[in-house]
Amino acid sequence: MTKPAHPFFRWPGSLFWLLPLIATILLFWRNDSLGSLWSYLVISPLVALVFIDLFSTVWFGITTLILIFLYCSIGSSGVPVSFAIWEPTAWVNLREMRAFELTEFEWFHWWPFKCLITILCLNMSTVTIRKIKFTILTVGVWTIHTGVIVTVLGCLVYFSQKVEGDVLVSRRQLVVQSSDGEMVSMVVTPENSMVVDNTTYTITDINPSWMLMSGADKGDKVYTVTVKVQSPEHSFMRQLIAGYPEYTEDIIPSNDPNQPMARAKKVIGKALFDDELNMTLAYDVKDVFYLTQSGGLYIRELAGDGTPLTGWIERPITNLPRFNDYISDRDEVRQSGEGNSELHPLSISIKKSNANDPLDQDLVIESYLRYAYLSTQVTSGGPELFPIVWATLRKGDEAMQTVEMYAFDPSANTVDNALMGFYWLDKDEDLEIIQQKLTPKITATVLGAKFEILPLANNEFQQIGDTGYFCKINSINNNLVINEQIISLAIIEIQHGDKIWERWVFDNPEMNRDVVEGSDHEDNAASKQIIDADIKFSYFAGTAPITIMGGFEDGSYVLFTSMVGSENKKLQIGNPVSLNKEVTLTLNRAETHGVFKTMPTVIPITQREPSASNMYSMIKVVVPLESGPVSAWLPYHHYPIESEKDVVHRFQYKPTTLDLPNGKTIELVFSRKRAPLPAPVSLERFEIDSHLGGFTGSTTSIVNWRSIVNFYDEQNTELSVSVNDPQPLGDFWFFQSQWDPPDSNSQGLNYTVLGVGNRHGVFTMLFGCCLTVAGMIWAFYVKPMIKRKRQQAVYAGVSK
Amino acid sequence: MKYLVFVFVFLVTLSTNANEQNSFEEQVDMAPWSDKVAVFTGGRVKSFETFSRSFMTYILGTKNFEGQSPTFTYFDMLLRPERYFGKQIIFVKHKGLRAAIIGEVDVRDPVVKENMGSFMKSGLVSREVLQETKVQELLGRLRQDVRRFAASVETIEAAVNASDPRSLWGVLKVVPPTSGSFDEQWSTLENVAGSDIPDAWIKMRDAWKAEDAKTVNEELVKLSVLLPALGKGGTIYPSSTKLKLESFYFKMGNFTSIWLVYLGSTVLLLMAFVYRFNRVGKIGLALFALAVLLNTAAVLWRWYVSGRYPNTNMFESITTAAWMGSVFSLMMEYILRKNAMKYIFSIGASIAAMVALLTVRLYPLELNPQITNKMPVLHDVWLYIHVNFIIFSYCLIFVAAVSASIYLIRRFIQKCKNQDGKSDYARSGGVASLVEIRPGTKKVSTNNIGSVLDGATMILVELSFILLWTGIVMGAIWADHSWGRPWGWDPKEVFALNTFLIFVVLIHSRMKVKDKGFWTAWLALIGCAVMIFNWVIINFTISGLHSYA
Repeated sequence: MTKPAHPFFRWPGSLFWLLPLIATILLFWRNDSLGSLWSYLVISPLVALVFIDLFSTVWFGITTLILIFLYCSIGSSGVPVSFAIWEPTAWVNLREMRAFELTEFEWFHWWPFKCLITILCLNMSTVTIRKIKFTILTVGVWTIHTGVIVTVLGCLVYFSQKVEGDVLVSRRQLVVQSSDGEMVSMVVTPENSMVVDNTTYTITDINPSWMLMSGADKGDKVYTVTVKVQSPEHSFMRQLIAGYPEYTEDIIPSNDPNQPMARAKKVIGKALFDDELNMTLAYDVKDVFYLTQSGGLYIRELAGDGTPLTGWIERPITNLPRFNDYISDRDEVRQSGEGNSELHPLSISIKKSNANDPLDQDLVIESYLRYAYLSTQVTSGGPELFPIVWATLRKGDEAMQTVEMYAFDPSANTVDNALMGFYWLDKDEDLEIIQQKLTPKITATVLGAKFEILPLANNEFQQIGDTGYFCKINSINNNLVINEQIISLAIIEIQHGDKIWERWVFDNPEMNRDVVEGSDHEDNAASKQIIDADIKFSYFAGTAPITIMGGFEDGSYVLFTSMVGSENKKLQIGNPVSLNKEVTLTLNRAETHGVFKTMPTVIPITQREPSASNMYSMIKVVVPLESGPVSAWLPYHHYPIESEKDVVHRFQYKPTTLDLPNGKTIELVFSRKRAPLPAPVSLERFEIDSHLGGFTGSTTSIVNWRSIVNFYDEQNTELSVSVNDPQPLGDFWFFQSQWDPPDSNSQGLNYTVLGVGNRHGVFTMLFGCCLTVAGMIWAFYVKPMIKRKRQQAVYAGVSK
Repeated sequence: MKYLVFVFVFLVTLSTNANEQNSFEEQVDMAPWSDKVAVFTGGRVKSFETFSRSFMTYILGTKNFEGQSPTFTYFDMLLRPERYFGKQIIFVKHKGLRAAIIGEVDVRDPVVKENMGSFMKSGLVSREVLQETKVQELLGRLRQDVRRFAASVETIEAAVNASDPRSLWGVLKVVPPTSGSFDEQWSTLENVAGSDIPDAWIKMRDAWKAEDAKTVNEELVKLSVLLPALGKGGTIYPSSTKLKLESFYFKMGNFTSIWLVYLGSTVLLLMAFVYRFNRVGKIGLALFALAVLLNTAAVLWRWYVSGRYPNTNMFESITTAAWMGSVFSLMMEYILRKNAMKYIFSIGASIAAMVALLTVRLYPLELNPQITNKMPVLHDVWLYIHVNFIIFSYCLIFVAAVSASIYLIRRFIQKCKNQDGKSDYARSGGVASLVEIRPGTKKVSTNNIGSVLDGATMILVELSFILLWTGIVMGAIWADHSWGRPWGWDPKEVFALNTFLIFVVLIHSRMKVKDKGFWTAWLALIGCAVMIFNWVIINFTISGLHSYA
């Protein structure tokens, strides 16, 4: 019996391979290429050779399979944290936790998964070569294992080179020639507008299926855009038809009352009102697409007047978190609802990657918010006196209104100023003067003698002083809007002797009149009659029935109200006071030195729409300067749109402007990385195939979407890209990804979103998969038949 | 005697009153309108019967209002909305939400308290309760909880809106375009030309309000002739036969009651398998064949009325998978009619189909049986290839789990009797063991029930193993040209792969473990659990690109 070789010298696998393994790891590590494709290809076999006995066991493979199963499950569905696994809240996804911050794609391309797959392949190869002799009966298992390895290799090629993204292509741009010959354009999207040479061009209507009523293509449905042209001299509409510039026509005011706007041809005998206006529809040509799940910062320099001095320069962002909030300073965000106040500052450097970049220094991301919006709110601690109060009106347990009032800027109040007001006293002595202004007052003047009358509606006549006149206030109507004027009115019934009549007393005494039943109430001389001039009334409506006053020396706030049954009361924050039997007012908060501050408001996790992904994310970027850092919050833009004129309906454009101490002004946009398309692309048409009843606007009525796109390559390729029918060009395939559905503002169909992606290694994967299927059929069905034939042959031989 | 007469008269009066109370609903014959008039909705036309059933589920869930038919309730809500004021007609599915709503209602009034009690049980609540300020405030707050309540709150609001007569009228698009154009929209009755139809409708409406059933019936018959006549000459109006068949299909509960036939066959076949009662077995097989026949008819029926092969939503996937498994098992029963594996496949398929049909019957809101148009991405030949491969494999996995369960039960019994069952397994695996034991061969390796069950499990595992993998590959091919990538690590994709991985483990561990039958059975069960997890939890709880499947 031979003595087994020492584990260090056993062939082929032995611990001898530890030396080259360690050396190779060191080599790759020093070259910073550990984790590269080559490192996997070299290190894996060496590991296999060291542990070849282990890799030669089926149990090791089974264990690896179970680990892969667990890894896949944890990364995909997550881990249940309660027994109610049918509730979405029962599942926690580990890969989304702060320690990982990995997308599905990243989780399944992380080194642990790659290691598991590598181990499985090595195990399969080793077991197959060492343990399974290649015979006609083992063709199946050999084929399956080969197929799996080929598939894995295909995946390696596919995922290592995968580029995936999308590009939004609008159907048309509106191009106008300015007086100096420059062509100015804006994208055709509902209500988009631009100003060229003091003339405003506004898109008022877009019809994606206008039917041609004449010409050779009569009956065809075409894309039309109606533009309102408004200059100091004239105003008219121009209708442009995509592909038919000869049918352009203007719609101008006409003298026909039944048709105030009519075709220019009808009114002035020619199609164009302004022949010199050069306005056309042009293609919206795109030459880049934007990578899925990537981050990019776009920067450009502005001149003093806001004109861009450079184009948008991209700086790629790497290692940006995705799922959790990272806040470097509690005071820099607002929490909506219960928020997490833990600090998790970031320090992600965004390096300059283009010589035209207006800034030389690295920018730093210090904070990231997954789901937030920028809002301007008042905070305390302003440098100047700027009093603000917040109050709530509540009627029993039912109606509730929360109001915000500014003492020095009533126009910003969130309540009707005729109903509520907030005043600030300079000194306590002013109180009486202001109070008088607040109180409504009706004064009767009878033959020169003045009498104050309580301005409350009542049912009984009361004598005016000791005069022979009696009056009864029928109603008080304040803040009526009549002929675009706000007026207040007290309707007073007057009795003198046996004569009774009604007088309408306005806050403007010139409008006062006696109203006789049957006469009109128009504001004209004829209707302004005064039955008895000996009695006069004046009415001062007061300011607001509910007024809060602040600025007292003791810092208190006082409620003044003219509402029935209420008294002036001191307000304390949080304590409701009754305005009448039903209505209460609560002073929620008061600031003396308020200041407006724009900062992100973080949405609580429970209120976040999962499908929104990172659409509402934002980053805080810091520009480190010698004079001190300058920072700004940048909201996420799905597309880094060039300018305001290129904003497409549903997508935002909110660049952040930073005035740097060195005098430079820069603009920043947070978006995705871009990559060049194989050729510039434009959208010729966007078509919809519909079910019975035609296109109703709903997805259920749609069979297929189709984008007919032009590529400006050497062949000027035209492709029809539709659902389930992608089209190749260069290294990429183009897919129908999204569309512009109709909504209340638009008939839609103004743009398409093309998916762009490469697919190297797909056929290798497919070949591997086919091999596995063939191997399975052989192993499960062909092999038993061969064995059976052999058994039958043996039985036949024995029976002979 | 007088007393008795009095009681008799009282009872007669009561019964007369009761009859009168329900008489209008009973006297109105909705059938002509329900079966002959087509309604345009969501890009397709349905019989009014089908349409009203589907529409009323938005409002009443699966309940019927006071025992009325959905067709009658639809018209009644439209024409006599006042009858539904204060009535419990809005279905709230979420039980937590029911409790939260009740918490906001003042229940000091005993009637309100009673209504809230019935609301908690039945889920039906009145619109007026939902419109109370406090309840509205609650719903406003809960709507912000996107993950737990937002969808339920929106469903309630949609139900309240749907119950509005203006909504009921607005969706009643029964007038086909007179041009007969395929692309032209259908409209409501107010847009119809001529005077016959409007006159008939107005008469019917007035008669309905006056509870004049005779006139209502006459006018409904008139309308059910006039409206289809508008679509005559074109191809857009469905044939009356199709409309009738569609109505009948839904009236019969989508034929899901076939589960009872499967149940009967399961009982008989189990008896036959365990006790080897051949005669019972024959009856069981006959019953199983009948169930398969009825199931086939149901699938074909749905195919005809929907105008497409039924595999585009959860309801269709489950019922078609059950049918596929049953047909496969019936074929296997024929092939193995003289084999010890007789009855196993039909037992497995019966139980699988029974569970499937019972599930879709019990959960009509989650597994909506309504026929809708396919999503644009599903208009592809790969839908039929990929989905059928996958659902067929899923069904076989379930059938395998049934035979594995029986095997484990047997092992448990053996253990209780201190018997060792480790040697009870199919020596050559699945089809291989079948090949070896074919009549005519000398050697029979499956010489006991344990081996037979294990062999059957392996036959099913092997076939589902290939079908599942092929289905996954085909899905990748489809995804490649539909979404631009063959594999996106979508949860549904990952768990289909996970199911496959379990069977890979099963096949490899079978080579290494000593107790092969036992581990095969357990892994078959685990594979089935992962498959069900993929179909239920991943679909309904963890969203992904396959949300429609």
